Amino acid sequence: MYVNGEQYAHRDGLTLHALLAELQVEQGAVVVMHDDKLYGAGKIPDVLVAAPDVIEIVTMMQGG
Amino acid sequence: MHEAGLQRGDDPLVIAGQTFRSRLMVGTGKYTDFAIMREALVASGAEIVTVSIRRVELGAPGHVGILDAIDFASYQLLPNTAGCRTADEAVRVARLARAMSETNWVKLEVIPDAKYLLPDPVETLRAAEILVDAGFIVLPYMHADPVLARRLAEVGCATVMPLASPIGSGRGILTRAALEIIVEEATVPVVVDAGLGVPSEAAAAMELGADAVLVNTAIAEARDPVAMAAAFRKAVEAGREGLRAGRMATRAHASPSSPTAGVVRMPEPEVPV
Repeated sequence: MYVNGEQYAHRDGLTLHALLAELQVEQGAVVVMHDDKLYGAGKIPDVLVAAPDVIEIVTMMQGG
Repeated sequence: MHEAGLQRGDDPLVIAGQTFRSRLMVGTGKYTDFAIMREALVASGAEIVTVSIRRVELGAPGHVGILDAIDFASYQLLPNTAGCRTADEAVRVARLARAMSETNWVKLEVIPDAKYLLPDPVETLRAAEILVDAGFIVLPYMHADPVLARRLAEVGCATVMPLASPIGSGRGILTRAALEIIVEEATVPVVVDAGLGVPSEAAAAMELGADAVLVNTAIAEARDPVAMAAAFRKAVEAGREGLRAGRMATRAHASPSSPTAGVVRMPEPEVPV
């Protein structure tokens, strides 16, 4: 699987919540795109992720 | 009509049906710290502020970006698609931005060129069409190209945002002739974005008829960003009021401001016969 453009070791039973916890990411501060599904901050479901999945975890930053 | 003493609320900026008193939009990038950024935002009087969307730094606890640094209720957020090189990337980031910010406003930037940060007009137009169809309020950053401005307005963009000079360059208005045509032909608000370096350039943009300006680097990289934000606010207000007041006609020759009759002169010198 890919997380934010980097290859990430998948294991059976891994869920989005578990992944975010492993990455020390606060659910309320990020948006997650799981393949084509988009989940807003604080609205991320605890669904299983599969080995071929592509996941983007983003937040708001400074910008012009 | 006497227009002296105009108040900011007398002449609102309307974008996509939403009314704003301030005609200065500001970016949140490049500040040395969040406290100065917050003060500068307040001093600018801006009601529309830009932010970016970025991947979180994995394994970095506490990496929450700008979320805790801005009182989001006080501003219309304008997430940008900075860093996107194609329409597809921009559409993807716009969707992420909408989910993150809970606004459907987006400052569309499609910029394949890292040296001059010049926008791709073809991909910008393509992304704009997709995003407008998807219900976004699209404010596209663009070359100062009158034909492109018309095309972007025709596909439903809420504004056009032509550049004055390259992003972050501080070189001022290098595209004046094209901006004048864009303003003359505009059917949506024109926001001059990028390259303004000092407040007088913001005033000049407003005097030439821009509906608003967007400033980031000139404020954030000033020696005193808070004071510079206030200066830009005053300049934008002055430029707008100057435009509404109507400038004088230009002349080829001088025109004295004092009466030409009754001038106290020395006696004419006697001319020897």
